[in-house]
Amino acid sequence: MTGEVDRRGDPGASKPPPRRVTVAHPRTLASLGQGQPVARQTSVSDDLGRQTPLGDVYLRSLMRSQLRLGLAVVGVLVLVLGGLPYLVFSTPALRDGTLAGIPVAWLILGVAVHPVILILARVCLRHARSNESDFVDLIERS
Amino acid sequence: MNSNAQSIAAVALVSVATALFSVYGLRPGRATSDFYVASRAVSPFRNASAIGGEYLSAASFLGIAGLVLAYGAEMLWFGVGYTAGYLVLLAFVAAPLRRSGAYTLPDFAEARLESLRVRRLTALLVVFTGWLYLLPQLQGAGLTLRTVTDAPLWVGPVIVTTVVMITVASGGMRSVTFVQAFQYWLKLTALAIPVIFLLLAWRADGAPWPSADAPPRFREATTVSVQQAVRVHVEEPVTVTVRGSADGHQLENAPVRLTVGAHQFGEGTRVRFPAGADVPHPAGQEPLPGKDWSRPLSGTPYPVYGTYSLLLATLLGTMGLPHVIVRFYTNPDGAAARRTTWAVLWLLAAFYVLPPVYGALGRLYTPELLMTGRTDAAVLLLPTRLVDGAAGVLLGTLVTAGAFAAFLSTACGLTVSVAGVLGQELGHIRAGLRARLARHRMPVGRPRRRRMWRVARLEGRADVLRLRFAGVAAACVPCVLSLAVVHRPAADVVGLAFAVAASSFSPLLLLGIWWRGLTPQGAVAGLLVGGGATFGAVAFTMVGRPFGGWMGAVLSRPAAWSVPLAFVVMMGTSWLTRSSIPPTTARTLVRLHAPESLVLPRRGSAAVTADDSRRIE
Repeated sequence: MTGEVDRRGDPGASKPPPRRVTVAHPRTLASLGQGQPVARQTSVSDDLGRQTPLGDVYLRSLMRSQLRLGLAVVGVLVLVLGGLPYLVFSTPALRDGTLAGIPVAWLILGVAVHPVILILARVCLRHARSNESDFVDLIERS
Repeated sequence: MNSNAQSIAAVALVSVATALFSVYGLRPGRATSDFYVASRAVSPFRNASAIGGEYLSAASFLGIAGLVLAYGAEMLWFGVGYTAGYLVLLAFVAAPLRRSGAYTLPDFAEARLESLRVRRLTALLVVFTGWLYLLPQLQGAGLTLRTVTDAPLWVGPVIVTTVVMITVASGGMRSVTFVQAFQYWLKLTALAIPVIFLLLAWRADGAPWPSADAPPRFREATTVSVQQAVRVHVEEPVTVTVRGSADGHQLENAPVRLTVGAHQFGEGTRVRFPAGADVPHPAGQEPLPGKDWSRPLSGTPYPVYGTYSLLLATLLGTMGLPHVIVRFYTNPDGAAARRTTWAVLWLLAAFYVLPPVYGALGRLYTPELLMTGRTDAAVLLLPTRLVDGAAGVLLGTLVTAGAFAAFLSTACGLTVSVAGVLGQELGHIRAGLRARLARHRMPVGRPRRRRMWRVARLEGRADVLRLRFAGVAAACVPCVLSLAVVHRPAADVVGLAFAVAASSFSPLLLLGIWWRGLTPQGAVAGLLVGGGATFGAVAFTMVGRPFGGWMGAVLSRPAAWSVPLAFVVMMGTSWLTRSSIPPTTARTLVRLHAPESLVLPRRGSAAVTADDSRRIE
């Protein structure tokens, strides 16, 4: 509904003009000696865009690596957050100890948790980016 | 209170500044895409500030401190969960959601599942969740104005609603982005600067900590003004001075001996307690001894269940909040969406260190809030209580301004997203009707084409008009509701909104992005069962008296059972109806996961990177 509004302003001039493509049966093309270029053009990015079984394999590999990364990061988060209550509850030093007049449990939950979350986020950000650039390399190389 | 004039000035200043920013954004806010997502031309840092501004609501600014005051260490989990939710969002949702290229959550549902039914249901849930989240913002505004100026409770909601309507109806998302970014920094300043002075005053007082065995006590002679009639229990006999009604007697500054047992104070009564007296607690609520208060997992009746349920709700609920999601569409691409989330985490970590400090100091210096039950006011009262003279008044004014920024920014963000969804749905319904009519009426040939062009131009204008109308509707309904519903702690109600989001939108998003097997039927079933069950639990808790005991804990913190239920139903139904997996699933998943730098060939008419063209203004 709303997507059409801005497309008017799309400066088509900035794009390179579309390349001329000979439209003919592959056999005709082959006999004209153009068989090779046509074959080279069907790259993996074509497969990906057209959702062929091969493209699907590539997509699955990207999704799997990103999902594995996400699960690892969130898994560590859940272990830390889920484990903290029991750790604090079962260790008397943490439960009733104080540091500069403030209970240790408060310092852990109020302050120390945040750096852990930030470190996990950093790891997630960096690996997600490298997963994607690996994927782009893989597609463009093939 | 002598800071009346300053506080009114602060509230006026924040409201006027918000309105001005929105007028500043009026000029570009013309096209429909401006209204929705600021034409996707917002840098990660400003976007992150805006997300922070929108996300830090009354629940964060006032609510966490209030709950910490009342229940202690267990409530520190709120701050942790509110931050950690963004880590889950970063890990699973941020980039794919941006790449989906849809404007709102219903758009995502329709794009992924190709089903109008899922779209409608999602829209309904978005509107409901948005309104539920708006309630505590508006009630918080009422409480704040009542606390600092003695204005009636309805004034706050009406002011916030008015400013929000002006802001949203005039500029939409673009102006809101400016307003939100500004308000994040205002909120951070408003808590961070007073906290320095408060901690200095606390150190000068000998750095006390609530004593382990005793219930909370008045450290100095304190006048408690009772704003709503309250029935309290006194544990130790004490002589107080009362102006107003006590136990049915009308008194004028007369000393009264309160014996052990229950006592009733009427509305508007002022009670002066001597230094060292125990704070009476509301009848039926046992006071929490200091030892249980400072330990985690011992503040409430079912602490383990409550804590884990809260964590689940905040971790998964963040990604489903309508005003958070809409922000991700304003990023230029998926990688920028991740960078924005990373910046948001920093901003939130900086903020959430502060509210617990206010909560702990509130336990020491404003314990009378335990008696009146309005613990959300702790943040507002502490500066004037701890810092003497003009400095205290100034800090109090700053905090009031920050609180108002919190209500306004969250309310604006929510109203924009609810208005966006409402407007879209109205548009869909109208477009459907119009198409049906047009088939009968339109003449054929050239005149028809010219007329259609004119209609299209008018439609563009009508589009924005309709969105403005939707903005007004989206703001007014919760305003009326907030006056009708019982006042509950802000962080609790927001927790419920998180639970609804966690058990309806988060399965839809997570399964939609990562699982090929999701079907429209599965999504509908999951949304209905998960959202419906949480909605039921919320209705039980919000209306009338809350349940006690185990049932009360299960209903007031529903996420622990409703989230797994929603996932199981959604996956199970999808598996049973696996023959109707949308044929476009593979194409949509490529679009969600493939980096934008890959230029993929198109299939059919839809280019994979089609929405790139929208970035050019």
